[in-house]
Amino acid sequence: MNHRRDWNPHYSVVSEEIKAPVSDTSKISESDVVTLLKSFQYHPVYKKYFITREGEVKIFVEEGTVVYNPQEGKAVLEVLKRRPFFFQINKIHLAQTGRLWIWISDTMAAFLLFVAISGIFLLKGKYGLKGRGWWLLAIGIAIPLTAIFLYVI
Amino acid sequence: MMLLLGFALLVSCSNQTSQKKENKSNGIILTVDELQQKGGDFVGKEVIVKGTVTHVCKEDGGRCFLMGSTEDASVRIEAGKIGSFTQDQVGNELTVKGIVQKVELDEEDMAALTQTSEKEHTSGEKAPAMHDIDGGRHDSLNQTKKLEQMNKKIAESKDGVVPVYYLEGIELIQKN
Repeated sequence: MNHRRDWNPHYSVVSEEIKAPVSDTSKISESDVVTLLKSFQYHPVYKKYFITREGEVKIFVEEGTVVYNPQEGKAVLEVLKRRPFFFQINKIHLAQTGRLWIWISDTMAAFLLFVAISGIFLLKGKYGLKGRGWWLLAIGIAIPLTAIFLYVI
Repeated sequence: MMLLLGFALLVSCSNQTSQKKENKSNGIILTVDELQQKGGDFVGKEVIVKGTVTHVCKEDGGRCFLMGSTEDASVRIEAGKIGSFTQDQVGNELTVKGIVQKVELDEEDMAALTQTSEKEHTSGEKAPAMHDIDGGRHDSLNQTKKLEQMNKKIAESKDGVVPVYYLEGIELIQKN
């Protein structure tokens, strides 16, 4: 997710452009559309189609679309395929789920807070707050605070 | 303790699910065309809308667009409590329950959209400025047409604003 400006962390894109029959848009039928889809190497699975106001044929296929321009005689396929593992992990990371997962993740967050806070006081002596622990705690607070001042405020 | 907590959460969740099922039949049922034309009468109200999904946000599925009888009848659905939409829903018939929301676009908003469009056109990128409004294709040619149409509507309107209605999603009632 940190690099979502450089790539789509949820989907990988499959694109393919083919030459298609030059035709009159008004004469295009569903069987023409299904036949056209067979010309793609990807073999998209047909769902439905409609004619746009620009006279293009927009075809819905499994996981994507095909835009067929009968005047220019070309068709462009774009399919967005779920990235295995990343798609599922991102969904729960973003809490784009039902209420149950939100409650579970809130509970886990509460436990993590408990572990983090109790950890501050766990070690005694030179490894605790009176020694190295103090410096580690200070660094742990200073780094996110610096980031907030640099990028947020 | 974790087991007990987990069990309590499951019970609470299953209760919520059964309550949801009971509510499914309630609510005003509108077509996408009706929502676009008479949306003002339903702002803040819970409605059910059915249409064909023409676009799902590629980034995180946070919104989708439903098409009505023609390409010109389109409404934006924010995922809201639904969580998110997925790309495999594109082309499917979707029935969604949500609350009608309204945004008003005026000349100032259109100027900002035009500026974004020109800037992106100059830099050679596809211009997505109108994406949030109608979810259609926004290459520079289509975007210019769309902006012209919106400007025309604003000029023709009495108070210099064009309302755009969208739905804040509550529940996905039917996926196909």
